[in-house]
Amino acid sequence: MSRLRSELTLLGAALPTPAIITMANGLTVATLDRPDAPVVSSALCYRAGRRDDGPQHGGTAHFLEHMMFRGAARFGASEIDRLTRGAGGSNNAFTTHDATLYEFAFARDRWHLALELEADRMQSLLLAPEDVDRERQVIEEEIAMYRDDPWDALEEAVFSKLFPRHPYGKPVLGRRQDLQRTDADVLRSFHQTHYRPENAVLVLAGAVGEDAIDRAVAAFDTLPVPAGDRNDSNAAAGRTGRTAFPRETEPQHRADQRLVRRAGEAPRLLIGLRGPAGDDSDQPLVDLLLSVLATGRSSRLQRKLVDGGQLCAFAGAQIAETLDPGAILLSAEVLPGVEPQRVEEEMIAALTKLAQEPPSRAEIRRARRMLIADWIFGHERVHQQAVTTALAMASFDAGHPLRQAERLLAASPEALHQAAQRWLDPAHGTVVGWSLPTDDAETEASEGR
Amino acid sequence: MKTPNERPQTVKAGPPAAPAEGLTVHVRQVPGAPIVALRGWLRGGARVEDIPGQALISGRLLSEGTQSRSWRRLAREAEERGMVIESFGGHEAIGVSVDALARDAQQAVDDLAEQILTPAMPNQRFKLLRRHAMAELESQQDRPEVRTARAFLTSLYAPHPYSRPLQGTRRDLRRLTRDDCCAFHEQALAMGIVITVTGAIDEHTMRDAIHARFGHLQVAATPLPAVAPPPPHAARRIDLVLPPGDQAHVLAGHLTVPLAHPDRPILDLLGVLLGAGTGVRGRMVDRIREQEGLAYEVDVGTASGAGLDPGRFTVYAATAPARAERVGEAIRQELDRLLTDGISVDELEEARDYLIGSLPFRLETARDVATRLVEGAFYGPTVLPDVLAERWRSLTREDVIAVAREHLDPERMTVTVGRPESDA
Repeated sequence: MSRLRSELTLLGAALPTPAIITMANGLTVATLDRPDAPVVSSALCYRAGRRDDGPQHGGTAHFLEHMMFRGAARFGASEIDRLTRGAGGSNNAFTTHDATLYEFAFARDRWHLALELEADRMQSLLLAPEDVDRERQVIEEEIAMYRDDPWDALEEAVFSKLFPRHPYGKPVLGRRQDLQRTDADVLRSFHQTHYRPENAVLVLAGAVGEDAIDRAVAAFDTLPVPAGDRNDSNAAAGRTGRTAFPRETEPQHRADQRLVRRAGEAPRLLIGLRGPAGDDSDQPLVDLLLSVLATGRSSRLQRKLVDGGQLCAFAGAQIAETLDPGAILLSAEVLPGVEPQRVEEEMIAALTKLAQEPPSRAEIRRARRMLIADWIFGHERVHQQAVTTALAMASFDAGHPLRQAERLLAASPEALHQAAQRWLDPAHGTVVGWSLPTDDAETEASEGR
Repeated sequence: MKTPNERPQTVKAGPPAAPAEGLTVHVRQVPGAPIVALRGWLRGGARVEDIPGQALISGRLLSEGTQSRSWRRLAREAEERGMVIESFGGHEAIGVSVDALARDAQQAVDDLAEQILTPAMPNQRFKLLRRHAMAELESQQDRPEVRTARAFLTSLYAPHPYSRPLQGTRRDLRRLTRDDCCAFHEQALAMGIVITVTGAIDEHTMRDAIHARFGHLQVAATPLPAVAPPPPHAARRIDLVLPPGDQAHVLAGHLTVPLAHPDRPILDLLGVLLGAGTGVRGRMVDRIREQEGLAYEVDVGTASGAGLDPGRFTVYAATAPARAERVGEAIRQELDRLLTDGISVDELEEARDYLIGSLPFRLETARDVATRLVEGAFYGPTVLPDVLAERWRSLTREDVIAVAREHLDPERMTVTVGRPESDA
């Protein structure tokens, strides 16, 4: 147990527990004070993502993310980027199926600008129709960019098979026809519904100083207290008050196989399985199992497919941390001259073996140490500390990252074996996606297996 | 007032703790995460290779086993400590990086030294890496933006080494041998080594550890072989047919200056003014994306890829095929406007404030500091953040306009347009 405690201490030092308050208007503010850091990062996360888009307006959450940089009442068009640059800072944003997150980073002596910019656009976004039209065109180019990327196109195809009824099976950016239907009124309605203080979490990380909370309260205090019953669950759960989608728990259609053929491509394989939700106690165990499988040159797939077997240029495995049960993905790019089917069989065999017998203690120890190191390296920047904490608080709670890490560190071989049987057994069903070279024009086909 | 634990905000090259000419060692404590970052770079790289692909494979072979440990054992022992070891072959160097928990700092030094000084370069691993490099060439063919960039770079630099991929061609790779890689490593060792150690470490202990492992070397710092500069040329237009797809790719630009050129900091500022850096800002980005909605991604650089040899001015955008010519026109018009009308004081101030204000991000982590120290050792003090900041502070509008007119020229631009097959 002393080793477990010492490892947890290491992880806790890399991502400290934040100080948290909930304002009268419902906004949750958390700070991670790192006095020695030269910078401060802010992450404002709204519980609004692709899953919250209207049925005819896929891509609205992402569209709005773009429009959030087009100006608000106090800081008008182009002002956000102009002021960010003038202060030597950076900004960005991303939309997932579950949430949308906005980031700023500034040197430690000027970070307060982030608060003013965020409060302004939460309260009074402009959404001029001509800006909406221009931004729609930009997003159409973004969609085209992802369609032309072989891995992105393959992933979208696999997800649509893996989640036929859940929004996770639909692209975050939406489709062109959806975007055409999405105008300023639709975006305004989405903003009014979801971009409210009680639906958001603000995390400030770095050399924020002792008065950080006071400054945040002052900046967001003018935002109205929600009428009626306030959603006091802000800090509790990302599921509260949101549409519940059917969990895709029925047996998967193992016969599904998607082939996307393009001239001159390298063969690419993406296998999808349904995985546990982010707060499921099995989630960190699956994470560790996937590390046994594919992280590092001593892992099973690296030895079997890349360094030892010499069948693939690379092989990987990952699990997403999602609000509802999400995806487990295994990927590989096949070396020239290798029969692709052989790689698929090796991957399926590796999954089967993991489900049939527990990993050795040595494998578990190695995977655990790699995950610990990865956690520490991954949170070296305060930016990543802010993002991890904000996403955790928006979907789960502030204690979520360390709680899951503790489960990961404490998992026994038997518990891991049971988790592998539940989630990684290919007999439960997989979606196999192939991108194969061919001289033909692009074709798509599904075939049984 | 500075607190005892406050992170140093500067990186100065300082007097290197080098026991021999040609061996440069920098050790720097960086408070923060309990990690240590080691970098060991050998001078040389693809710009001095005899056979294209030689530097890449030689560099990658450094982590494929040593005279005392197989690659499997190296990997296993590193992973059991959570260490991340990577080796590389680039245009100007080959080398090894080790990122480890600070408690494993001594082991990390040993691992770095072993891989840099006594790599085994086994023939089987050589053959595998060569095969991987061939696969990478094939995989890159699937990326239309890479195909477009490849045609652009060939036009700009050929026959200079920057004109080709680090992998070379399949034919180059086929004639490369393991002996070529061993020879390249020997040559790189003779041209000088840069070692940096940064992180939550005791500087004296680490310096002693480095000297114990590297101090015996008699590195004479053999001068780098001369490389003929890329030839100057006039404006060109390249049309490329890409596989079927949704977007055309436009890449325009020309050669500028090496990294340590005295005008490079001013070109950095011009880059920001045109659209490099954070957010959707700058003249090219504003025009192509914000005003005309022609593209999602617009990338601008004024000394992209610069090192010991010249970098390039580039503007890249992916757009609908029917709008590709419009993007090309916009690039040219914005460049003309810059050279004709100059810049405003407000633009100068914004770009200057951005560059100076963003310097803390370049020094935030132990790994950032390691990178800055290596850059300083390779290219000289003019690339260090302190020196750059000083230069940016002293600039006037006239300085910037003069450098723009000297180094940016629409009449020298190569414009590459890659279109999907059906639209070409």
